[in-house]
Amino acid sequence: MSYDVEANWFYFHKGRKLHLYMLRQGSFIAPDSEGRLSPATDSLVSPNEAIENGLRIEYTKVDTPFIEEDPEVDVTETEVTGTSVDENSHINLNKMLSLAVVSYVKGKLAERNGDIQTKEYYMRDFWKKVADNKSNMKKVHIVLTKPVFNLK
Amino acid sequence: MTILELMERANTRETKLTIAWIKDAIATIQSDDVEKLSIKKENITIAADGDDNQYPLPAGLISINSISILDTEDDNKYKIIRRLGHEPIVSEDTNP
Repeated sequence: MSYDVEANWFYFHKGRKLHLYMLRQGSFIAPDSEGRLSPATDSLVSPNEAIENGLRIEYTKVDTPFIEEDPEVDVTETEVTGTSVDENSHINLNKMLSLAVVSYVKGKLAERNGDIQTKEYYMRDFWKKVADNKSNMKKVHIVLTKPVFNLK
Repeated sequence: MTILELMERANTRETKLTIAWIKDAIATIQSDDVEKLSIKKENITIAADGDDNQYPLPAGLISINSISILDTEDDNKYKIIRRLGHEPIVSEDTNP
């Protein structure tokens, strides 16, 4: 029976593992074996209760990078993996991010040819297109009220 | 955009290398911004051993967005928990 989990549970990220801890609060009123009231401090302990599907991890990953259908046309995503990925597979990104990837690949080609200046140019272009994609998704609604006496 | 179209735009003929770079580019985009979030749920078990409080992270993870625990006393809501600023002084709990 987990309760107040936002206050009593903590995690620590270490390598490829997630360490979970529960807060065990100390008691200021429970007397010890000799009847003394000594304040016990709070401590972190390992989880002492089982919760089905109790841990939820929300994360980013490279999710289905290649699909069969054009993501600009079709909403279904049939993932293409391993050796099935060929030149006819679609990149699972919208148009703007696909253009950003073009700049990324151009930058990598320039880097391989030892042309660092051109590589820097294309990497700047890559981040610019990623930023443009973000700004395209912003929808700002501005409402201006008209004063009553501004009629001419 | 197909891989072939991208290769023609970038003027390259190396398919495998281009596919590897495309994956790198997508990982770079994802590490900078949350383009698409994935969710994984795991059972929490009673710790009986020193490392029973450790849970493996999902495969292919780039970055953690949030960690939540199911609050069974509050209508089964998943509530975001806090990350410890530093590791606890106990490195292994042999009697959890």
